[in-house]
Amino acid sequence: MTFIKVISRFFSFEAVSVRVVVVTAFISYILQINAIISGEPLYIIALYTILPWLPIVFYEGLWKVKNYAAVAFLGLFTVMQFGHFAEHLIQVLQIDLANGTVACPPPIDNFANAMRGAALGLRDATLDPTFYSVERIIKPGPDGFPIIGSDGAPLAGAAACAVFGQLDLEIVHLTWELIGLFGTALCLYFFHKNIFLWLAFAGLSWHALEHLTITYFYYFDQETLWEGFVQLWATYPVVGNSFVAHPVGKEEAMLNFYQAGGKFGLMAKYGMFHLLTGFEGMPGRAHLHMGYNLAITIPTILAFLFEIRIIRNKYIEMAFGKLSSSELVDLSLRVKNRKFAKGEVILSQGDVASNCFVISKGSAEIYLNKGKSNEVLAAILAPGQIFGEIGLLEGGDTKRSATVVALTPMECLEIDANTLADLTDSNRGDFQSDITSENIKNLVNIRVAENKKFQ
Amino acid sequence: MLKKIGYALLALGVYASEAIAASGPIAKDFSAESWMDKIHVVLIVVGLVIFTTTVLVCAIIRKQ
Repeated sequence: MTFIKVISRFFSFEAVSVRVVVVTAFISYILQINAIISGEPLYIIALYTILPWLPIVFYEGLWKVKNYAAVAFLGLFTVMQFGHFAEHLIQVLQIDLANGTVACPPPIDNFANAMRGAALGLRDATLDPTFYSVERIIKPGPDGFPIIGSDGAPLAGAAACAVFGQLDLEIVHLTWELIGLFGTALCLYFFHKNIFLWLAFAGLSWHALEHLTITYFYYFDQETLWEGFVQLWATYPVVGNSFVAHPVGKEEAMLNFYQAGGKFGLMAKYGMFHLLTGFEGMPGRAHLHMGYNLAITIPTILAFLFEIRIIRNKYIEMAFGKLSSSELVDLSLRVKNRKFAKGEVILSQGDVASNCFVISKGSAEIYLNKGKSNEVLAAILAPGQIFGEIGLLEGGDTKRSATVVALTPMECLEIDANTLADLTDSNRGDFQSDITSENIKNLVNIRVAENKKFQ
Repeated sequence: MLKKIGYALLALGVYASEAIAASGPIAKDFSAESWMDKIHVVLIVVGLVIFTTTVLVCAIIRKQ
């Protein structure tokens, strides 16, 4: 049960207010609907839907890394890895289930393709090229012209380049692969005993072989030694801004190593292993790389799930470091993030106490008799320190003993009265650390004594 | 607007103007021999990856 709570807590917004989330969802929804009504292709609709979320997800991500340290980094990294895998999976589904053609990045409605479309009468000759990527492709045969199905119509299917096929570039693949390799190494730096991370790291090292080789040939081996063909396309709109690529023959060309066959890499069908051994059972590049990413993503997810069991807020750990590991996890689940502006009065002396706080960002001034002639600045507190606990404890009078003012913009973790009562009684409740109970009581005694000195 | 963004990306060389990455058939004369001619590249890459992986593993283990 705690595990589910930990997961749902991690993937919920803690630093961003509900109001901001609702406004973002509304903007995202409006942009999405507008894109659909305008007849935009799927990748534009997806982009508009995702775009408004990026700033707050980035902000929330930074907050989580700051508060939960390395586990949060591993979590965010896992989410990105899963997103990458999802793109590969979608591409394979497009190939296998949507009669897809692998021509990636998808042909673009540029000048050449638009002119061919107009010449064939497939589009209005006055329609300028739009530079949209096509969503559908009519399958080309060996002659470079459409394959005709049994019903007499050309065979058409998805442009099998996943959702954001424009990013299906060798440099993007290599960059992501290296981010994965070094990011996983960084995670291992913190979680070196996590066997799943080591498995992911091994998979990424192997995967790096493929992409480094392919990318080298793509950029650095330009000598054109092989006779071949370049597929020609005509593009035309079907619905709204959704375009189709129509094959219109092949053009003879001299190809470089990458174009001739290096693009299949080391282990895919038509790749190095296939040609050197003659073994024809290897999967195509799209399927193989989906498999590589599956072999990397599953251990990464398992590694994250293993580590998140013991996730705890860094500042809670600083304040209550003597609690057991499971108690720190539990306490981290019970606190609520609160923000205060510079100069804001967080607690007022004499008010009824109902909560206390652990500082996670900024600093606070503790005043006695604030605003009176005998006003005293008793202390300045920093991240990891607790305040507001005196009025909650047995022996306190349930009234605030001081006024607390935010010296800088602040973030605090709020602990309710019941939880603090539990923390200070080691004989009952969920927190049974004698040392923690003693530490809190000692802290209160010291502060009460200091307050008396000032009065 | 979209067209302008398209032109900008094209100018940056990010936007591929033709579909070539990992698509299309293998060239007629492309064979095992073609790969053998480039085997030094593959071996250098293998060496580079082994070196990088070893350095990273050593850094991780030494930190513990």
